[in-house]
Amino acid sequence: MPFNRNYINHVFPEKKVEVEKGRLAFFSKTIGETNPIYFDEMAAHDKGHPSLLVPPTFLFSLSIEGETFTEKYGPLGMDLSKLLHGAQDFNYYGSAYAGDNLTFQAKIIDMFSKKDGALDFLIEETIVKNQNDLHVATLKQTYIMKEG
Amino acid sequence: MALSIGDTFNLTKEPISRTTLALFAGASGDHNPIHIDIDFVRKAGLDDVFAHGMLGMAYLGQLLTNNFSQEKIKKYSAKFISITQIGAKFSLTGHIIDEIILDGEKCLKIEIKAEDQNQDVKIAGEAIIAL
Repeated sequence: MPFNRNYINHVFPEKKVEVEKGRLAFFSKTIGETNPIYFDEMAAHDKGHPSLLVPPTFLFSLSIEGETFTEKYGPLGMDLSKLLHGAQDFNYYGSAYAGDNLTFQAKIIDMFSKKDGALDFLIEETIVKNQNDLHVATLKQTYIMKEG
Repeated sequence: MALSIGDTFNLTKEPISRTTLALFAGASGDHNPIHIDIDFVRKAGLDDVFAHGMLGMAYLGQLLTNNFSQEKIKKYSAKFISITQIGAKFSLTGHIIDEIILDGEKCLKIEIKAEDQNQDVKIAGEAIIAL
């Protein structure tokens, strides 16, 4: 089953996520990060940052916080066992730090199929703003469902 | 020494283990069982779990921030070319291919890729970094 085309232009409810310091440090350690501005607050301060700096891809993690893929995309026809993350894009306009309260606004911007329907694509765009209403980043997710 | 057109930079990561994927599931918030639960995976007709695409993209992000101040990164995009198996050992490469103007700012255009130990390109992407 392809993604439900009725959801093209669907806007998800806005989501607020606090950037937790411990979780951010755990993420950095897990990916083998060696620069302490990503896991040691003193080091971050020494480099002039208000707290731990959110590394480039952690915004994606925050964007999926608090809900499973099945909860969010199940109604759109997503089948986790056939799902691939095809591509990911980030456009950055500002920095985010531990302690920030970020707002994520996600919208389905396109759905289409390729290879005679063997691959079905879902494109989502997520705008991230901080507690001062500053635009931090825009994310674009490309998800692919394999048919058959 | 500032990097310029034609320069390359690299980073090698430890092999990806099941523990890596379990920890990354928790750290990244992506709990999709396809990366951590072999019973789920076998029911779906696959042989084994495979790595989160975003794990490799996080590694490539580290490659970028090892060489550039993160605040200079304007755009960062990646395509997940093929599935990354357990045991994959990533070699990450950045290659500065061009100088462009983005929103009036002079930037470097960088090709990035993540290859496993068999030189299979698993992730290919691009970054735009302000000078």
